[in-house]
Amino acid sequence: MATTPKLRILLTKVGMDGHDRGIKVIARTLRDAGHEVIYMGRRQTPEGIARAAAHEDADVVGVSVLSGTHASVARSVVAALREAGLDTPVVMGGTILHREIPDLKEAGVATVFPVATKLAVIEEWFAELAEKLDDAALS
Amino acid sequence: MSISADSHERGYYVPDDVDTTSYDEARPGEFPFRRGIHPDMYRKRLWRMRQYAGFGGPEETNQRWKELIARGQHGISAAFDLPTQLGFDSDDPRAGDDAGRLGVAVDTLDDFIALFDGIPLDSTAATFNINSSSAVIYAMLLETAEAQGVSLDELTGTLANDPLMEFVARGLYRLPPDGAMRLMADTFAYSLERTPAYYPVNLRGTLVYEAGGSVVHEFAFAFAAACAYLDAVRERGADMEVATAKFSYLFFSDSNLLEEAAAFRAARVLWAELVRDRYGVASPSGQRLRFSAAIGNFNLRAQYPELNLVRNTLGALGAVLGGCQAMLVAGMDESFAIPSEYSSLLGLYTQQVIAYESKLTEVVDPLGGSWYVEALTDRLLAEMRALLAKVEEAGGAVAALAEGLMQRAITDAAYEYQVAEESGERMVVGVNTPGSPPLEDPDFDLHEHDNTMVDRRRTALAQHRARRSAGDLETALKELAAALAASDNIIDPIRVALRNGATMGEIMTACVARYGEYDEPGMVI
Repeated sequence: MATTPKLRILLTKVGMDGHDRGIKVIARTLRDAGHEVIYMGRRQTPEGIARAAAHEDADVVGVSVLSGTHASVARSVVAALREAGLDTPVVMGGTILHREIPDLKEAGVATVFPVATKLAVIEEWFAELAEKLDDAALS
Repeated sequence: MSISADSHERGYYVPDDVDTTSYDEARPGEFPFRRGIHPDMYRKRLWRMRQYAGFGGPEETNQRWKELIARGQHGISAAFDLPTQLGFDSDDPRAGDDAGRLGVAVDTLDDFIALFDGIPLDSTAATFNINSSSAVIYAMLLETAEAQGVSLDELTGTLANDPLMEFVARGLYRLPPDGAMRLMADTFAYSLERTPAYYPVNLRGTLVYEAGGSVVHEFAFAFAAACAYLDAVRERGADMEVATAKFSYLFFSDSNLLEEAAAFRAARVLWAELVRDRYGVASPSGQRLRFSAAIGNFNLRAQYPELNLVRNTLGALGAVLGGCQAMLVAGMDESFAIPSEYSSLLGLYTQQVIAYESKLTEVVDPLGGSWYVEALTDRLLAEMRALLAKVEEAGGAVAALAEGLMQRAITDAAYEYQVAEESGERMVVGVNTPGSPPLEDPDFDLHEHDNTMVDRRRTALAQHRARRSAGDLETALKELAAALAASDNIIDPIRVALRNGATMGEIMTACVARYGEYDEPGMVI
């Protein structure tokens, strides 16, 4: 019987914003869903994230920003990963409005979980990504 | 005494559910201050209304403060941007585009003087919500007071100056705990001597609650931090009668108003006993628990934001019933951004409606003698006491935070809180009640960040740096480094450095050179 595919997920915070209540709750939710989760902690740099993503062989990078700097953070994290030769998808969550999502996607973010997104929605997105990566690996 | 299983089962309380000796003789203004720290409370003096405000540069924030004062606010509660709270200049690469975003950017003494342009420091009490670089802000305040012609003897106001809580809960740390304790203690010691009317520490229990902790975590961890600070200043020879009289607190007040009111009543008893028994403090001013109440944070929601006004009203009622000395009320729009001027004013008006229209101010501790509230007060007191003892057994706040005891408790509680909401066990209107709407952006104006801010700050800093005498600055910074190395009080050297043009970033860099920077370990979840 095939097991449900699982991910290696790297979660992080960029910049000076210290609010990590949300990302820690998400880390635990994704762990309980069976994924391997590494939370890098606060004040990470885009370059450090790229290094960690390579080192940990992460399937996906999740970035939490509650300070309103998500636009610049999105650009710098995606750029650092691509510069390191990684195509790891980046997802973002935090104090983000719906009307800001198109810009973030334009910057290369795979998906955005705006203010008040339910855990079930987030869990489902990661499960779908796991299926997709699993299918790609098999084909 | 704990609440008996009977009363829970019954759903109402009777005299047998509570130990009446704990409150029968209790009077407001008398030890252990269960019913309030003053005999007359709001009959004589209302709580101080101070909205947490700040954004952009000093000029924008000065205007916002003046607007709030013009609408009846009693003082100021300053919101600093993240670079300032961490001690970075606006043009530091690590500041990214955070300058002026979540609060006001302060890089230089000139910035601070501009912040208080037309706001006299002898008649306006200001609270500075800053913990890791609070020593520098305090020194700026002293220089500004003198520039305004205000005597330091008469300077009033409050400095947060609680760096330990940044490690425990919010994450705006800079120096490691030993360096953070040094800056805190130097600031405190200097204030005892030179600004006797000033309150140089305002412990941030609220950060524990906002990060997910329970009301019991909030008070127990704040008191544990208070003991760490008191031990540190006692070691330097501070008189505990005087030192404890300079302690004040900021606690959160949520919508569950009876629990909040009971918790404030319990906390007063715990503090009064703690300073008497542990530090031998006999004077009422040291035994009185002075606290501001913070209303509205994670409990405010993005759906139907106007409902946050209702939540804030409930929280504010709990704080007033609990006997707070000051209050700040968040904007209804804070799920999305820092508050607009309009939503900030609504927070002030919420306080004014309670103060001027509810008649709650006419009687002291109206909940006193309620079997339920008294039983709840006793239960919370017992739980706070037990948790504080646990932290003390672990070696006190500094050891407990190194070991992760407090952080784990908060993280676990935050997770359980969220799970209870997602499962529908805890109902939140508009979020998981029937017919809750899909998420939408709000249809009212939010605070707009000025994207030219970083460039403007850069230009101002470049001009500032060009004006300074390099030699004088270097000498001043060397003297600061020497004081840091020699364990001399660093406030005077910081003041001299500021007068010679040193920036917030340069002064904190000197502190980092002595102590290093704290680096939070990552974790496999």
